[in-house]
Amino acid sequence: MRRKFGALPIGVLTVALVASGCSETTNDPAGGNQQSVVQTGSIATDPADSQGPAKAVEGATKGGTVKLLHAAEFEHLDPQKIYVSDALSMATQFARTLTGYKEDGTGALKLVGDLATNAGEDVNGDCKVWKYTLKDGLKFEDGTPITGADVVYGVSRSFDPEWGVGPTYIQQWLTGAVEYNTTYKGPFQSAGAEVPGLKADGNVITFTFPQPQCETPYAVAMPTTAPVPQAKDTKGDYDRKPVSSGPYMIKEHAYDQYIDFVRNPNWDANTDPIRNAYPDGIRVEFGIDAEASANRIVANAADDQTAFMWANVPAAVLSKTNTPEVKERVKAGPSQYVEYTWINTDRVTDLKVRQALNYAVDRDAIIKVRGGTDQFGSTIISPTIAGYENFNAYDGGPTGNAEKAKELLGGKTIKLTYAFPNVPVRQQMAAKTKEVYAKAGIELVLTPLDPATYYDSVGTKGNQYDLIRGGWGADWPSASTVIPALLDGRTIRDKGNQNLAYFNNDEVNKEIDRIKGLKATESAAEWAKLDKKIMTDFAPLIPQYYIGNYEITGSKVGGTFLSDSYGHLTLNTMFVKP
Amino acid sequence: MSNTPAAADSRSPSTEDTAVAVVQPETAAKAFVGRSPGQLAWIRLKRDRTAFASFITVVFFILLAVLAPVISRLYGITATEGFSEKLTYQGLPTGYLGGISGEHWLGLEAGIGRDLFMQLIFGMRTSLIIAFLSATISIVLGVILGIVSGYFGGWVDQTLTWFTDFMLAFPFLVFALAIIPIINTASYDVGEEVPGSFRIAVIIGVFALFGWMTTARLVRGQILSLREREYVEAARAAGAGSGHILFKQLLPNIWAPILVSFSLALPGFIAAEAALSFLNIGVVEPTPDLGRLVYYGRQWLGTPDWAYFLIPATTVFIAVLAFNLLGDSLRDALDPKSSK
Repeated sequence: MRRKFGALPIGVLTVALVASGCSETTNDPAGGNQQSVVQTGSIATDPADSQGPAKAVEGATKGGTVKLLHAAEFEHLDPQKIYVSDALSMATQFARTLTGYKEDGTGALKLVGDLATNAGEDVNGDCKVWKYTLKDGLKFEDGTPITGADVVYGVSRSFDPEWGVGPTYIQQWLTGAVEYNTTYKGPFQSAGAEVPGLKADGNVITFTFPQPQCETPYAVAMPTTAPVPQAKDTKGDYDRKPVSSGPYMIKEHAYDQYIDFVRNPNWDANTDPIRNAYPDGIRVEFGIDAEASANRIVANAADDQTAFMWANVPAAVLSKTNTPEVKERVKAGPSQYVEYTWINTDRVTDLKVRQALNYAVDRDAIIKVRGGTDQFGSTIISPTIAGYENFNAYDGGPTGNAEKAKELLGGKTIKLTYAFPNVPVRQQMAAKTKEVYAKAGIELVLTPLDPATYYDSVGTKGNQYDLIRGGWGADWPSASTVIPALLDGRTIRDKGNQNLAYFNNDEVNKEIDRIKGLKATESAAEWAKLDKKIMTDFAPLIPQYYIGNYEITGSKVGGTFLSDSYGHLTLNTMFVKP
Repeated sequence: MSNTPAAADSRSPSTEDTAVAVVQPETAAKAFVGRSPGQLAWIRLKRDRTAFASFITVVFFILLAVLAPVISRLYGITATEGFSEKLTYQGLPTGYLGGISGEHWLGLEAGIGRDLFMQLIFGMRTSLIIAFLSATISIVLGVILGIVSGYFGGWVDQTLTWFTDFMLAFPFLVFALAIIPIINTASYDVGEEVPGSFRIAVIIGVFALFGWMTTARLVRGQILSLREREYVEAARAAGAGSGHILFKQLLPNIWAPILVSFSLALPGFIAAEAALSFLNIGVVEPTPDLGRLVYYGRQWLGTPDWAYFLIPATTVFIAVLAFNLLGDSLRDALDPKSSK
């Protein structure tokens, strides 16, 4: 996202210089890389948790309109196409799903039944058959009741081969195949045919999977399972104006300009354990880049006091958020994304070298390049994931330990290639990384690659890069969408790899299989143990930092916090202060 | 432009009269002093204060660039050395004005924490290398094509003029945006590092490709008027070949506009190179570069590290201005009759 270099009026410039020019900048250690609350997520077992209405937020009042300032139009609003964090966060307000995340901002995230009466019933105890019963009194915005058939129809749409942009977990699990739409191709191309493994009987929906899928409660929280009324399905146009099942519905949508959400009169708070729906409306304004949004919200003019943003405050504006009045409105914390430097184990075969690379990394310096919103991280899974355990297998302190690295290398000097996408901030980070490793006698050869084809180049097996920049975010707060996706050696293909370390170890593969078979409640801690084992014994990557969120609201926005499920300020509990 | 002062061997008495009258009115009544046009230009140049000031500035920048490695050794800091420990957790340099101190004369780069002074002089080095080589190559190209086109006329002239117009009509920035990354990636295998020197060579090549046209037109016009002069006919009558006439008879008579064109092309290339880097298609990290410094720095305007933007931006501004003014003064000195 390149911003336009606008001409800055001289007056503004002068004011800025006077205001900020001649004071001393000091390091405030208290503001440093704060460790955030650690995730204690779980799947609700008490059916009472899934019952509405949502617990009231202290001091909250109804009414008013909150305003989201956003850089560009949502890629998709059709629930079966949504897969980007901003649209996922927005969808919580108009597309309810079988399950959902109940949060209170303390990190105690709980997966509860949203449309369904509970988080899911494992019928035979083998994770293969899952039963969901819809609550009574659920209605679409036009007043028609939501039935099991609407949910099944919604899921069926995600099979359309021409879409393929949303999450694919449910489809792959139902068919038991990676290529899920070879026979059943969705309600448009395979009209009349039944969705494999999915049945609706009145209000009861049953998923039957060929393999055990113990994390179904998480997977059905994605908007894949949002109900869509077949009679009102406008296919392609549904992406502009989906029919709401949540507390808000679209009143007006001017593409690329704004969306006005108003209350859905047919939403019943008593069916909803998650959403408080305090504001009367939500207005989304597009075309305001992060720099402009952040500056407006920091300035807090009368018009922007109810505004908030879902992008990080850019590095340039960060120093304006340090005054106590503004700081109070900032919500900062880790996201589900973790930044890695992959070590290509096909090329860097010496464990000692990989360990040295881990010892020498100066995370403090690297984090500062991006303005300090990210947090020191030395694990594969992020703190937003259930079972997360903080450890550093190669503890060199915040700035790394070049001496220890040199010791491991035994006086050798080595030369490695480092691949990264050629965009300005990555160039700077690469230059920093090169400088950091030079201290440990490791010379990096920087190879900037075309950002458009970056993952194609580094995802090809047998590539010539020793170190590869990468990052990964979990789809739900379980490491099952991280470790198996990234480090299962059996998934290595010729092209399109996610396992950029090309790491393949039988012992680790076996352990992945074992943990996958465990119940979601038991597996969390096991994944964290595996994370530690991989880092300690094999070091196929260098975790760099937990990519942080740093979002800000106007002074009249209350009740919100960074959601651990999608990483943005939550709308569920947001209210307008009188 | 037909009255361009001619070289020493071919000057006419009338030019000298005028020049002497202009330059030294108080001695006009006394005996004529023989001065070559070069000497006259030098006298005019010395009296021009703008020229003097811009000359000093230009020499200063060139010295900084040429001596950058020496300065770095004396200063005790290299261009790629980082001082992250001197930044706050948000990446702002601690201290005043973006970390200006006895140790870091111009402060530190916010975020990455390198010494700004070192980045600046090594960036200046990159800029000037690119500008000087691009200007030289494009002037040589322009002169050769201009002479050939003007002297031979006919279909050669038509073809070359058409080609010149074609190249002038070509959108430079769009072409540069498209071709530079393609050349860089196509010349090296996947996984091989594209060396900084190669990236610089590509930029020079693209600049030269798009820089010769104005010179070619200028030279062609000059040659068109000069080739009909008597001395050329005399040379031809004496049996001189085309090569001799082109390079021994005509070329020495048009060196002044060529020099001016060269001196005005330089700042143009400095600015263009900065623009390319600003758009992230020029030289890449870790080769220091002025345009990239401005790009990074401008994000920090309005924060306590506004110096990060203002210092490199002002440097580019002063350098381009100084080179431009010097070029202007040179033109005035060499050709006093051309309008200011």
